[in-house]
Amino acid sequence: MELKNLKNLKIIWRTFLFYLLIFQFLFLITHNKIFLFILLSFILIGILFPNFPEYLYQFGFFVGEINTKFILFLIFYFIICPISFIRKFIKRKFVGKEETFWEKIDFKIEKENFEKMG
Amino acid sequence: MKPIYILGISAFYHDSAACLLENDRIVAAAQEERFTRIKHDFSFPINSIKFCLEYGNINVGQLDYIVFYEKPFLKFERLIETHIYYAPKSLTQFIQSMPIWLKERIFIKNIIKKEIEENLNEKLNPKTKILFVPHHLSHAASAFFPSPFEISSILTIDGVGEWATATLGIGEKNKIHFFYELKFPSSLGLLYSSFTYYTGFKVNDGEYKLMGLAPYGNPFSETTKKYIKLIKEKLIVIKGDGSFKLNMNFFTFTTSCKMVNEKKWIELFEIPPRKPESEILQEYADMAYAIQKVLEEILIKMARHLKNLSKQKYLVMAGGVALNCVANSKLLEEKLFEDIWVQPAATDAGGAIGAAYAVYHIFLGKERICSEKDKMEGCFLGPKYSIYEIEKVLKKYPNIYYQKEENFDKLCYKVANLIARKNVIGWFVGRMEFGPRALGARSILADARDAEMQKRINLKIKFREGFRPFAPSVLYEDMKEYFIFDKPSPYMLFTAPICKERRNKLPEDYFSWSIKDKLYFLKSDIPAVTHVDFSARIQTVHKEENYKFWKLIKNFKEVTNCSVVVNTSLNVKDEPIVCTPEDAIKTYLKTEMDYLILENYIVSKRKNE
Ligand SMILES: [Fe+2]
Repeated sequence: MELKNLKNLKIIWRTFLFYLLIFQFLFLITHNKIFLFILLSFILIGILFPNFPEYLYQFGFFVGEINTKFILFLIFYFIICPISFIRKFIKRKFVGKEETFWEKIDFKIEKENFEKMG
Repeated sequence: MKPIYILGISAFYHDSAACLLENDRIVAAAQEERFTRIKHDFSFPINSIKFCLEYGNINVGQLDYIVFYEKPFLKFERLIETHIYYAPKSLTQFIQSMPIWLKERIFIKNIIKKEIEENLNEKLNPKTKILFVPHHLSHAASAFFPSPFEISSILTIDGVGEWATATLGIGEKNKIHFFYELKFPSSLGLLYSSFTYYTGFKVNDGEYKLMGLAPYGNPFSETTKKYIKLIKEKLIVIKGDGSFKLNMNFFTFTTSCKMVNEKKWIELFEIPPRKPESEILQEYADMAYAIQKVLEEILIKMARHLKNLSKQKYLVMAGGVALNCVANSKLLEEKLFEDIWVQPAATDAGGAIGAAYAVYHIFLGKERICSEKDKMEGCFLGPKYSIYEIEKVLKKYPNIYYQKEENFDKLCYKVANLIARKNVIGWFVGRMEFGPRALGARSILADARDAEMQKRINLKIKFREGFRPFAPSVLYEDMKEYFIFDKPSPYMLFTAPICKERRNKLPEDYFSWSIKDKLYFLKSDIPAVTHVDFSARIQTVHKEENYKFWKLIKNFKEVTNCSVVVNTSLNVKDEPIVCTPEDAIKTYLKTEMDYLILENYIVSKRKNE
């Protein structure tokens, strides 16, 4: 994954730390200091390893990719496959009996049609 | 009256391109690959758009219409339907293709707007309409509207557009009407590409190589006959009207990135797929011959059916399959039509031109004025460079030597002499060609009489397969002295047999010779452009349309009494044709080309030459 520019990365990194700070405030109300600990750890890691934000960003991107693939996988098995199965069951086609495979064209070459994307 | 400016765009499959129409005149057109130097680049053609607008001397705000060459929603529908039909086998394809469609391609209207505005730093005029033309209408319009025919039958055949893979239609004045279409996955383009893949060439790139390999096949061998029989019995059902259906048990292009079910093909043809770059065995040449014959049979049947439907004298063609010049010539020989015109940029690049013309004539209803000459401007629609720009580039390369010849006629005479002395010349003159063929603006030229030339250019200059033939460029007025052909062929879209008296007699067992032996057998007195079956992919050069190139060949004739030169594209293997003077110099320096002509400059690698 290529980051377009360092400026973006810095913004993302600061936003990330800012959110951690917000969370900490929320958790302070409930007397939980875990986010303060995480926040300080990240700041320290960020100072010691300047490339860390980039790795973290890449990790997030990777998780996003996996997520997309996982969601698509679910859509495929829970929507696409059942439709496919039902269609094949209803419409069993016998090939070879047709006299021609040419089909009449179903789109109309009209002015209005040019503005549509489909 | 204010002219109408239409920008045609084709992108996201292969050969992205843009074209600018000013009323019905093509101002400029170029493929994105030439600028990005990525062969068959399919990304959004922002560089081509930039060039078209600059050449047309207009800004973004002056565009009246922007038109995309296909209907993205219809294409998306076809993808989803295919995934449903082939589920669960289509899982991998589904996961690979969906993100890019859902994130980008179905929002093409926004992409067009964003890409243009961001990259050209100008806002689109709010009145500029963004339109969409069906893929095969773009092909049909690219074939009919620029053609010289008032009324004509239209045949489009490619891999696939939205759903259609082939259409039969008719064009009359400013209208196009379709009769029938063949739908995915029945695709002649994809059938041919499957064999391209199996014979070890790159899909969407190596089809031309497969066509070039076909004549090396032995038409009389049992293997070839068996292959033809197997293709027609097992892979495809062909009807008398040219329609056909593929047996999808043997093909996997719907469910994976591989074209065919290799296991089944190995069982069927009893030969494994050829590894890319490995030695080409005779069986693969026989296979190439077999599929070429089947393609020709289907094409002729389709054309005959179309003739019955349209009852027209002329035929125009577009779509990737229309670049199969061997099949085009077979169709011409059938004499079904009095004349055939093929869109020179027949692949999706030409779709940009077609889409723009469809808007002008069909959407806007503008009259179509037809003349004897087609509207392609000899295909010289790309950028050209001034002497000043060339000088600037030349100064950057201290290791080359150059001299200027102010008088172009004198330059032609000098270059003709260089070619006659067996030198290989890079010829960079005028506007770059649009479409896959070099037609005398970005060409490598050599002496067609030299028996060693084919081998030399293939291996030492273009670094490509030794078997690949070269095209001849011949003065139109002298064409009949060399070729059995009787029509203009300025775009290299037909093949013609070499005149019988120029041929050398073939040994009796010639057809059973190996590929190498056939290649090195001296076939005629212009051996560098004579293919193994005595055919040549002919370019006729016309004084009126391609003067500078014509002048060069005319001078070559004066020096040698021969009106034919070898003409191949100015590039090396796996690179697009050069675009800028800098590309040309880089190509020149990495090959064994002897001289490079950059407009009025003669460039050489050695001093005082
Ligand atoms: Fe196409």
